[in-house]
Amino acid sequence: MQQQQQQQPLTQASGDSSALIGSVSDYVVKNAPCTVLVAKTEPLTDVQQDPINRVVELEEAERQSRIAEAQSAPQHDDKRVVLEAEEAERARRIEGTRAPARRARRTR
Amino acid sequence: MALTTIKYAVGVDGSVIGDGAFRVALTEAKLHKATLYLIAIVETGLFAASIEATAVEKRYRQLLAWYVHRCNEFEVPSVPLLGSSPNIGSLLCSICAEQGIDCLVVGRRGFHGISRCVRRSESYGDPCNSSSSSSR
Repeated sequence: MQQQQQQQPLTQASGDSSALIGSVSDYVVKNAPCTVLVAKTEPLTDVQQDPINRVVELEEAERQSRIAEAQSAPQHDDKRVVLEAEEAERARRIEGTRAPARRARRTR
Repeated sequence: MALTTIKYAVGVDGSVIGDGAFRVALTEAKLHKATLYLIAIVETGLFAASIEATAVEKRYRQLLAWYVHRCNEFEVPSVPLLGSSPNIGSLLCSICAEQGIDCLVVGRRGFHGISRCVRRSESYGDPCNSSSSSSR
């Protein structure tokens, strides 16, 4: 009996002869074996764009951020650190070479 | 006494209405710490060509992946389900019965003028979110 009811066309299942075509939500409200919550659709906002477009946008944004991460800061920072270390080493060496000369001058 | 998780389900199709329903379902599932079943059904039949159905199926897979991503963002456990049927409502109801869904969230379409005379929607007249329960 229940199978027969499921096989009925949507218009008959919705149980109203005034409607030529019933909607899915009507069918579900009539026939669902659980509580049905009919959601009110809010006015259009930027959140309600096509979800697929948002998927593409998200993927594109992720890709761009990955490229930006790979290209930017760390490499330059590493170079800068290396350069600073080299600079400090050179200064130390110069200081090291000058220091004995000063000591020699003082002893004289 | 064993604790059972509440199961929410929502029908999604990539439309604005479906997206609105998803947001309501996500909020409810988050509130009640429930599992959210994401159901997308490809309509097949006399007028739907197989190529078109395949394209729609591919699109729905992407759509479900996106909605799962959204659920993960909100830390709501989700189960994506993809089906195909000439009668979406019937399949939706049978999935709810099989999976033991407690609450199904559906969007409603607003009909105006002539389309309102031809296509009747019971849910259209409600000014806010409404629910109907079934004892079956």
